[in-house]
This record gives sequence, structure tokens and C-alpha cells, in this order.
Amino acid sequence: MGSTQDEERHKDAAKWQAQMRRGTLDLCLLAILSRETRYGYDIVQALSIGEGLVIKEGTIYPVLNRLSSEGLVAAEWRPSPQGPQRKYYRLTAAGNARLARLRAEWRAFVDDVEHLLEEDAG
Amino acid sequence: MNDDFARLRADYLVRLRHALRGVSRDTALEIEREIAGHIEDAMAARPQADIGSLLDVLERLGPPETYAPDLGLYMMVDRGYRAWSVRHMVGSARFWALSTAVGAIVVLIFGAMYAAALAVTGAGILRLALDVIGNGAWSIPAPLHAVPTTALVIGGPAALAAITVLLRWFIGQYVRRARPGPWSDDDGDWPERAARSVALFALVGLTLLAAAAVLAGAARLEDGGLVLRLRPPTAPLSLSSVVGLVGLLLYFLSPVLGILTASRQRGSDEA
Repeated sequence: MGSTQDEERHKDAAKWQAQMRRGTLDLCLLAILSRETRYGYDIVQALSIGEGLVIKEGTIYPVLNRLSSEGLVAAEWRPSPQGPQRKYYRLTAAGNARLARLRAEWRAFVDDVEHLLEEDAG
Repeated sequence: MNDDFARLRADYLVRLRHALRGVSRDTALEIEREIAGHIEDAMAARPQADIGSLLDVLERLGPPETYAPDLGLYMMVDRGYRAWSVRHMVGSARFWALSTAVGAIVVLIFGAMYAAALAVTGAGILRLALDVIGNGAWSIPAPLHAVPTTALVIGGPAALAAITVLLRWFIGQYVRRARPGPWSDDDGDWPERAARSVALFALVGLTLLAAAAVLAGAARLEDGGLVLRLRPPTAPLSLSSVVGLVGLLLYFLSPVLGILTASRQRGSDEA
């Protein structure tokens, strides 16, 4: 009985975490690409902070493709120092504008949540 | 690098290729090249290029079946949609028709609409040609005899344009809403919901068509077998013709109705 409830709680927490990650992935990807032009594995490495923002690395490619199709990111094949060509992604002007908007929204959101949590703790 | 190492890497790429079966060649090659590069880069970052490291790299990358079909279809649909590339449009239609039952239904519906519009356009051109060069060995189908030539010549291309606009809207909805992501299992079930709605509308449409056929006496069971009798409806506004018309509309509009229903569900879920 107790273990079933624990499992349920764990599932709920995992789902909530997954939804948070899903909701913030675009922002994180745009932020990473705003600093410099990067290729797939390099982006995955940059996302691998803490517990990591990506569960399976292969799933980052459909997201990059979507951002590219929305005109937020541009991709091009370039030779790499290691040998074979790599597909490099960079932020476009539209991507920069989206990043600025998402960043402002994220900060306002975090401030609101922090404010609520502080009130709750106090 | 030993044989097992090379075989393991090759096996993964074969699975990737298999998951991309039906995707246009250039799209599949581009995806394969990028994933192969990811494996190379991940291995180069490891202290040892042994089989244990490769297993870990492939484990982190995830099974190709979980991300490659979405990526391939999305890339093809997107290229067909944005660049108006007929090759990618045809490719994505073929891939979709072969990969899901609902994809097959949608492709059949749009295919039938295009065939009908092309037939009307062709009949109009033929009628125009016959009017100019006189009657020859060719004639247009009997149901179109009563339709004026101008209506055929204008109506056919207009129908083709309207279907193309509808198809582009449909693809655009897919591109905008399917939004592939790493956690699609948790919240991004829009494509599945849309597919279920499309299938439901198509099924209801076909059921109504079958009911209309039975009501009109065009289909009935005789001696344990189904007997079909094609005959023109006796009364244009009979119950069977109304039911049949609703069924036909539901069937042909099922892609649009399915998408609208799934989108409304998503909107109310988010609210």
C-alpha cells in the first residue's frame, strides 16, 4: 500500500519534472546557441548540467529541426577539425528576438513563483 | 577498433536506416550523417574508444526507433510545406500512408479528391478540344454531359487549387502542432489524438454511407452474401440520400474535422 503510494508520488514528480523540462527546452536551446554556433553533440553536452535537460540525446534532433523550421535557428554543414563535416546550428535574428521574449517571461515567472514560495514559508 | 565495435556501430546505423525507411533519400542521408557524427564526437570525448564506451554512447543516444521516424517525417513534411517541394510532399505522403492506418486514410481521401478534380479538369479540356476540332473518337464521361464546358474548365482547376489549399492547411497544422520533442510521451500526444479523431470521423462517415446504401436498397444481404446493386437514387431528398451525403462529407472532411477536434481538446486541456 505504502510502496504503491510512493510509486504514485514518484510518477507525479517525474511527470512534473518532465513537463518543466519540456516547457523550458526551447529557452535553454536558444540560450545555448546565442553564445556561439554549435553542433549536435556539443549542444547535448551544454544541456547536460545537473541532472541533465535531455533524457535521450537523439531526441534533441527533432527539436533542433523544429526550431530551424520555425526560422529561429539556421543550420549548415561545415568541415570539422576532427575530419567529417558537422551540422552547425546558429541563432537567427528571429531566434534572438524569441530568446529575449522568453528570457523576460521566464524571469517574471520565476519571480512570481519565488514570491509565492516566500510568502508560503513566512 | 575490433570487429565487435564496428559491428555494434554498424548495427545501430542499420536500425536508424530501417527506422527511416520510406523517408526521401536526401533527408535520410542527412539524418544518418548527423547521427553518425554524433557517435564520432561522443566517442572522441571518451578516454577509451572501447566497446563499453560505445555501448554507453548508444544508450545515451537512445533507440533510433524513438526519434528517427518523427524526425524524418517532420523534415519531409516541413520541406514540402515551406519550400513547396512536390518531391517531399509526395515522399511524406507515401511515408505517412505506409507507416500508419490513419495516414493511409488521409492519403486516400486527398488522392480521391485530387483524382476527381483532375478528371473534371481533363473533361473540360477534352470538351474544349472537341468543340474546336469537332467530334472525334473520344468523349467525356456521361455524368459530365450536362455540365457546361465553362463550368468544367473553371471548376476543375478551382477545385484543384481549393484541395491544395486545404492540403497545405492540413500539413501546416501538422508542422505547427506535432512539435516533436524529447518528452512527447508525457504531453505531446497531439498527433495520436488527431489520428484517432480522423479515424473516428472516417469510420462514422463510411458507416453512414453503408447505412445509406442499405436504406436505398443498393446493398442487401441475400443468401448469406452481400449483394450490391448500383442504381440512381429515386428521390433526391430521400432519407438514404441525406444519410449518404452526410456520410460522404464526414468521410472526406475527416482529416480537417479530426485536426480541429484534437486542437480543441488540446486547447481545453491547456485551459
